[in-house]
Amino acid sequence: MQVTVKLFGPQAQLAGCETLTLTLDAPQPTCGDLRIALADAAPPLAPSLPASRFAVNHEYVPDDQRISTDDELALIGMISGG
Amino acid sequence: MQVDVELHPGPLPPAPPWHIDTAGAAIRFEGVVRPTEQGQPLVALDYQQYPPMTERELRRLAEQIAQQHGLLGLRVAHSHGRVPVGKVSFRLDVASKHRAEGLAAMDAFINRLKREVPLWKLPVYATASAPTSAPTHPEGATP
Repeated sequence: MQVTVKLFGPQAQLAGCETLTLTLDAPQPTCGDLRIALADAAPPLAPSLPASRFAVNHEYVPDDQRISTDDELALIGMISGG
Repeated sequence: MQVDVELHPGPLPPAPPWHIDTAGAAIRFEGVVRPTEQGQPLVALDYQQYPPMTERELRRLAEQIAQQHGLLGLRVAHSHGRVPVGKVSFRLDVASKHRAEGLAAMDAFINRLKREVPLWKLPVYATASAPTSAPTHPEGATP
């Protein structure tokens, strides 16, 4: 399954792009699978991934959340409001 | 309980009047863009949001904090886009019956804001060599 993940702020700078399209091999992939794939696709992101969260369709989700190609996926990490 | 949330393009203008009749404490915090970041002179900070999630999470946090601390009112405004050095990018107003719950709410709100609300800041350095933004690849790309 092919999915696209939005990146923001310092993580977009680290990855060098604001979206990443990845292929997930699992039959019913989860955000946990996505986390592993992101580290492989964009190694500069790896150190920041453990403290990052995923949003699916603009809601925070746990790593066991299943994802589909229609979902809007976003990596939410290294946030710094205020 | 009154809760107001605003995301504002650019620097925040001076605070509009805000008064809660029954409050015994009215506390305001303003965040100002510092002139340096990691020892390097700054021109501005670029704040990035993720609409509509940013505003939704900011409102969720404001309502939770107001309820948990028994506030009479909470008003928060945050910039998005470019904010020059010395300008206000964040303002939190809290109204409570007594000072203790207001001060605690202020601290709790700011701590959680930095962990939960999808807002990012990128420094714009005075030197031209420092990167200020990432390129967009609409088709998706592996760098």
